[in-house]
Amino acid sequence: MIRPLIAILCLFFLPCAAWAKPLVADLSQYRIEIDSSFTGTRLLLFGSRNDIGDIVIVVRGPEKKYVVRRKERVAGIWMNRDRQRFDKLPSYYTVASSKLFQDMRHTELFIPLRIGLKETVMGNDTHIDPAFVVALIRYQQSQGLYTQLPQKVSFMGESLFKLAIPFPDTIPGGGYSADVYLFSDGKLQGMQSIPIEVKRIGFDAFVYDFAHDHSVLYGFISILLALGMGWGASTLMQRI
Amino acid sequence: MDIYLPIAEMSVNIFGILALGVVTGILSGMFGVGGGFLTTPFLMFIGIPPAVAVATSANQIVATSLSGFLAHWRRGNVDFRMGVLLLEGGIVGSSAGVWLFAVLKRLGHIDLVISLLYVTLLGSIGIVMGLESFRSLKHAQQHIVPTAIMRFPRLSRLPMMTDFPRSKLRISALLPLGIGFLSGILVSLLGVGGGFFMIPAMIYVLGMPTSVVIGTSLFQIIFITANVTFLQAVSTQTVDIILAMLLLTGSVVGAQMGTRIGSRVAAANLRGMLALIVLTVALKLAFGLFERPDDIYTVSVNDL
Repeated sequence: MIRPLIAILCLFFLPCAAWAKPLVADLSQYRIEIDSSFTGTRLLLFGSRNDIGDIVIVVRGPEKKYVVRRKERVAGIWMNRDRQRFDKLPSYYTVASSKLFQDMRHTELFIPLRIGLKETVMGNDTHIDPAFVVALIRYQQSQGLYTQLPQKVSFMGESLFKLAIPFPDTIPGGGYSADVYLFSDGKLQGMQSIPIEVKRIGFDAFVYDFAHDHSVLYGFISILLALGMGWGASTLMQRI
Repeated sequence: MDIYLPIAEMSVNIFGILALGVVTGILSGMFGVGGGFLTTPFLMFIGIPPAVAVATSANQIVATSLSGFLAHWRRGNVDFRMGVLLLEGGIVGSSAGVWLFAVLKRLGHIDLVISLLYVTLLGSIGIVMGLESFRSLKHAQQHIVPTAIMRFPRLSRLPMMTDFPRSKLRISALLPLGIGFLSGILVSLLGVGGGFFMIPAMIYVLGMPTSVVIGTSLFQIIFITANVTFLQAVSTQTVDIILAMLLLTGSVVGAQMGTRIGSRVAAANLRGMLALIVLTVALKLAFGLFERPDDIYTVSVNDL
């Protein structure tokens, strides 16, 4: 639903891009490699605007399915009662801007473009109890997976801007995208999307793929390793 | 120092996990329990996804129970005839437990059922064991543990009477089969080895000598947890081999220490200490049921 809209918007802005691109941006790297020493990282996004306006940057990770459950007290015991499913949400989401969100004048575009945490989780579905939305956002924020960075897009001079995008150790692998928007006078003046690949490498990638592709063998190996270590330790301690 | 776990998809402190392994290992060697009832909640507490915590601690218990079993076997403290019967019951029971788990999950409230089961079981076992070991400590003379068979003579009239020379018992084979079956259900439902249920049952229902009980229970736990590890690896891919190896390294060392400590402590003291640990965990979980949770909302994540 979002992508066709972006495509239409991009087509609309193409003519002006022909003589001066309103926005150019790039990343310090397009790939994050997760190995056993990975404890999180930062990517530097930098760019230049050729129009006056506010910069908003959104980074989205691969989509996953979420279920939020609410406990209630029944006969003195806390148990799960109501629940809310979210079928397709980005597993990682960072939104950053050059201005405070409440100071911007084009917020009507934020829901269709899925800019902002609440806008992304709730969309335009009015049937969802907002308490579940708040709970989901709070949980994702506590994991470092959802982040809001108002005013963190900084300018060097009139046109150059930059942002350090945080990636915690909990990020899932897959395809990410960093989308840069330029808003002015309540209109979207320019947009650029940069793909980022998050990939496991080395031994960890091998273990992960092996566990999923050869699960029977993986199960046997896990048991054999455990048996081997149990036996080995017992024999070793016997000698000492 | 941190290390990234490929299946849990997060990084953890190496020394924290190693220490947890040593503690569960000591418990395992001293009391014959796998320590799963401590490991699983602790792993979840530090943020490991519950499914990974359950499956990985099953894998860890395979190693600790083998290591503990070998130590007891060298001392001749294993009743194999009894162990095989417990194992047969356990395999049927854990299959039934997997089915029961699916039914409870469909009805909802599986978490609540698990907590209630933990509290009821750990609480009653802890109280019975605590009282009994306190009584036998007070009367320092040779104390005979009163068994269910002595209290309910009808149990001795069951069919399939079998001799268990190692345990110096002659009882119906149906009793160990039944205990194995019940503990098998608990293994599937609670993601633990089942030792904390089986050991008291072997002592107080079957009347086995405490010295033989631990080695025999460890013998059975090796196979049951290996089975659970395998089923989880194939069906949910939640066994984290790196996490398991870290826990293992700590716990195999701990198990040897535990066995040595255990052989120097009087049996009644040992039972008393286990009772205390079991009661503490039960109380902690019971408070959790009635206390208002920090967050009344819980979030679960699944791949598309």
